[in-house]
Amino acid sequence: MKIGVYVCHCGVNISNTVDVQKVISEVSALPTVAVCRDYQYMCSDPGQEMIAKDIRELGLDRVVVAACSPRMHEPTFRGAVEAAGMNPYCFEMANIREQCSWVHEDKEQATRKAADLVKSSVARAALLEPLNSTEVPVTHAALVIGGGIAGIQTALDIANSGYPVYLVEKDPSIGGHMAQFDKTFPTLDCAACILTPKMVDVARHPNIELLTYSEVESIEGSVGNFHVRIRKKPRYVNVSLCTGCGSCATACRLVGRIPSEFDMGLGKRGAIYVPFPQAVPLRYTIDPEKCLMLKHGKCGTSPKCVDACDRDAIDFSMTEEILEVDVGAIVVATGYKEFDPTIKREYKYGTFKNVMTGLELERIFAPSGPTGGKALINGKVPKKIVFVSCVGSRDKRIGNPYCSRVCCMYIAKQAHLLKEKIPDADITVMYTDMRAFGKGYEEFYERVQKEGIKYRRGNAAEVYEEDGVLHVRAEDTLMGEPYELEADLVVLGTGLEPSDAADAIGHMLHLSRSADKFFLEAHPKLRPVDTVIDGVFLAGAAQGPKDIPDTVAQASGAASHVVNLLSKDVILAEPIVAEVNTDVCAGCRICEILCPYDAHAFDEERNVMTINKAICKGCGSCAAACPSGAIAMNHFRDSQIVAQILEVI
Amino acid sequence: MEKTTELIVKEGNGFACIQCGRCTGSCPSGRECGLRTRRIVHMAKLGMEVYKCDELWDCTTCFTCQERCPKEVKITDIIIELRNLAVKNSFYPTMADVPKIIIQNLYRTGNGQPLSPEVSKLRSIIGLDKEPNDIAKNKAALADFQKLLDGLPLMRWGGI
Amino acid sequence: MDYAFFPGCIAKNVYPGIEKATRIVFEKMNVGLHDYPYSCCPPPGVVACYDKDTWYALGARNLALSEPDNRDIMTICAGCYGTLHNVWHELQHNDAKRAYVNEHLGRIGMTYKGTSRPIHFVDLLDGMRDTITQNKEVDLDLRVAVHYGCHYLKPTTVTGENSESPMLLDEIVGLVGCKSIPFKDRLTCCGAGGGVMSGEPELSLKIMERKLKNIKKADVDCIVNICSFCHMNFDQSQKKLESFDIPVLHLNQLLGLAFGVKHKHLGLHMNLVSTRDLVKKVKGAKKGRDEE
Repeated sequence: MKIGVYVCHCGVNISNTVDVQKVISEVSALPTVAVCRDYQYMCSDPGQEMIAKDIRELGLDRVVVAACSPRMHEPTFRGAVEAAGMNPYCFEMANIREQCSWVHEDKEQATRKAADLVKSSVARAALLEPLNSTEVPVTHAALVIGGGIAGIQTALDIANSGYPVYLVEKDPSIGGHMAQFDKTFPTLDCAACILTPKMVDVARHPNIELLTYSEVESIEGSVGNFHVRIRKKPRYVNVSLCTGCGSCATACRLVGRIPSEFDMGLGKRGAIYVPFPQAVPLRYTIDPEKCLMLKHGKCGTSPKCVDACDRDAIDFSMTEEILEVDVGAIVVATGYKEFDPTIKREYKYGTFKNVMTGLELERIFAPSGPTGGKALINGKVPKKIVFVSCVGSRDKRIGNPYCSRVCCMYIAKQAHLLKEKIPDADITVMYTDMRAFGKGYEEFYERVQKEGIKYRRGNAAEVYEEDGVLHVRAEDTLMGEPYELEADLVVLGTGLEPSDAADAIGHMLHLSRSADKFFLEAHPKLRPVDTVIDGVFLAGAAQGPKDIPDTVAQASGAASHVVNLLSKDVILAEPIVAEVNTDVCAGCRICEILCPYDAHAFDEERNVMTINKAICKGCGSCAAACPSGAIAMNHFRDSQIVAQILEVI
Repeated sequence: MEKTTELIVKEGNGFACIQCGRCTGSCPSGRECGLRTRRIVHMAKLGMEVYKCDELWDCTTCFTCQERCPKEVKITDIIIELRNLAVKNSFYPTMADVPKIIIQNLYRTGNGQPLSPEVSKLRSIIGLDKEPNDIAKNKAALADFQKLLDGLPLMRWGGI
Repeated sequence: MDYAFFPGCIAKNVYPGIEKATRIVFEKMNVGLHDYPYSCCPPPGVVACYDKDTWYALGARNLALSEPDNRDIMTICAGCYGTLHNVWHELQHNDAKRAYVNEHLGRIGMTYKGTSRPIHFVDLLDGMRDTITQNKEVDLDLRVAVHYGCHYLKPTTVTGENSESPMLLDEIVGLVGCKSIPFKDRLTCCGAGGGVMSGEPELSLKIMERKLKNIKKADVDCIVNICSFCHMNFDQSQKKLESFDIPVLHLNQLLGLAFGVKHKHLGLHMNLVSTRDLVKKVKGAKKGRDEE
């Protein structure tokens, strides 16, 4: 047994608190330790080379690095020792930074603890067994969940690389929130002009199978081999016959009577509808909750839509379909939903129609929206307009402590658009802090102020009504004076929350959420598109509030990770998995209940448990719970853990 | 034990303040006078001797600011604690006379607002006991109450 | 149902009509009210702002008085409720403060256990809506401006109320035929609290004047409150300002009228702002009902 031990200074992160030389002298004395060295940055190229050289020249068969948390650099060092010819699973890491130098002040005690930690890692290293990864074939296809701009970009990038993509969208059309916008900040590009061509590309792409009005039902398997069940909701319209002519919608008895979700309830649709004229696919859908025929089995003497459709595309007997597909990688692009400001009662949203959310105003601007793009609020042109920032953002009280990152800029954009449409409008923005951090944003902020938009620091305290006129109260914090403004339109700069779909998808994929309830990336800086689940990636606002440029960038990033994975014929499966000793297993099936990944399958014939290595994540729950000790965790065997513990007690 | 301004801000979650001004915009008193709750929190955060400011005593403790604070800063609680600190440092408000009388009444009769002969008469007119059946009537209870107050800080700080 | 009754010093010693109305109304509704040798709450504006520890100790003394009889404490003033409920709430989870309070109460042979809860009478009425309707003899048919009182509603982390759009008081006045008229800033402070009425009367009056202007615009028959302290401020300030004459009724006085109690038994004639027209209007309503 020849163990090499390498103690890292981590700049001064470790060496300021831990006496590295003292640790080295203690560890060197251990009989199994062949060599013990220190270095300023062990993870750097010279540091890694120091280890490799010793492996080659001294014939080390175990390596311990005492440095930071293994979360970041265990893969680094495993790679380094493997390149030098050692089995990567004979490498062990002692965390003397997060678990020692960063949390202690007393240098002497910290040094003693660091030495103990390293010694216990040496004890464990001595018992490590070489493990070999098994090869797993990769299914060359991807699933993208969510058809907003994030999902669209991801799907197109993957498809353009030559791999098949299933793009699943719960609504009847792709496009997401971006399709609801009029113009985009800071360039004032028309959202439809830049988005709809991409939507058409998706529909026409030979590598993309577009599954709209569909939801992911279940996902099994693991990286390289996911098995996905997708539920296609019945549209009650045969999409291969429907031409999107719209005769049915005009004929529907309920036309203009149902609030349109796409228009934030401000516009009306019928029971058979497309969300918006540029929908992709441009195929009609019947709302089963509203359609008289589907709800009551009767629509006058006969359904008018059926009479109106020349192509006989309407089919009330349609039922949902389950589609099963296999993919090698998954991208979660479930996006966001707008904060519902009803609970911020002081702003009277829901009480007064001229208190609106940002997204609602977006539909007022849109040429395809309920007012045909005219700046009309309840039939009138507003002259006094107040914008309120940070509604549902930076607000611990309602549970959203984070900044939503887009509100400052969409308010600036909307103020600009209103001023353009109503040149004599008096527009005031009440803000907490101005955050114009993106490319061209600060310049845009300057531009709108020059256009006459008044920015007053200090956020709105409340909205009240008197004699039919709204008033907004605030303090101008730069003047230190409370003031009130009359308003015939109050726009709430509502923040972003994870979409409702995130719950179910997150549960299916065992994804973690960060404190803000958005999906947690694998590393906040260096792995922002990965999740801790191999083969599952994040794109767009599902991971956190984002503007369009950031969303598109992340979407392309996610796509490149997917392509990277799909370009391989096989991948190596992590050998740190649980194994059942079938001679000892009593068939109690406790492990099966505990497994969060459904990796266990019971062999009825032999009355023993089996574990699918491809699915097992090596969490160890089953091994810890097994009453007969039949399950062993590779790399975390009882003997290895006990040796490690004995060294520190 | 006397709290420092820093501890008061800490306990009241004042370091979370982002100076959004929703508190001051909500303040019914600030509309009529110079009270700026936001500025009080700002000064306290910076460790300034905000307890010396007279405007501290303009707050009616209606708690609207505290309710609307998005950062859960306990603004009203901070103001009340700063007033305690002011009293302990002999920074009595300019208006201290009447509150002093209230405290003296409290000690003497058990009630900040004692019974007057006129109201006593009114009580009997509408069929109530001339004197309420409370501490002022119960001499033993009043004596205990005074003993309790004697050992409490108010009598030391109140300058009574 | 039995409660320890905490009238508070304003209802006892300034507006005894409120105490009297409360006793009559709750007797009619078969709720037993019991007296204890209470001191005043003590006032949050003066005592809490001068020394919070003293406030806790004196508040705890009041709370402890009915503990041997296992009686919760009914208050009829948002100020008293604010003190007693906040003290009770703090001592529920602050062990150090509870030990401090008990150390001092020990000096006079008392202990605070926290077993008797303070309750605001309007919350009690919330659960007695049928009893109110059964006792109603007169449909008052009045336009009223309701005033909740800040310390009944806030801080919501302690009270659990909805401080931006409460409806309870509006609903209760509705039970006796009154219509709660919305008015601007109906939930803002009356200006009395925090020691401002005693310490800075002019500021207090300015806040009140703004409030009264809004109420006057709503053209109501009277102001209905659930706080003796606000009651006193509403009544006295109108005299000082000279430009208002809106009668002020504590909710229990309003309920008394609806229960058919003579206005003089409710002490309405002791208000500074005349209640004569209001009483006349109610008598008319009663007469109309008797003739039917």
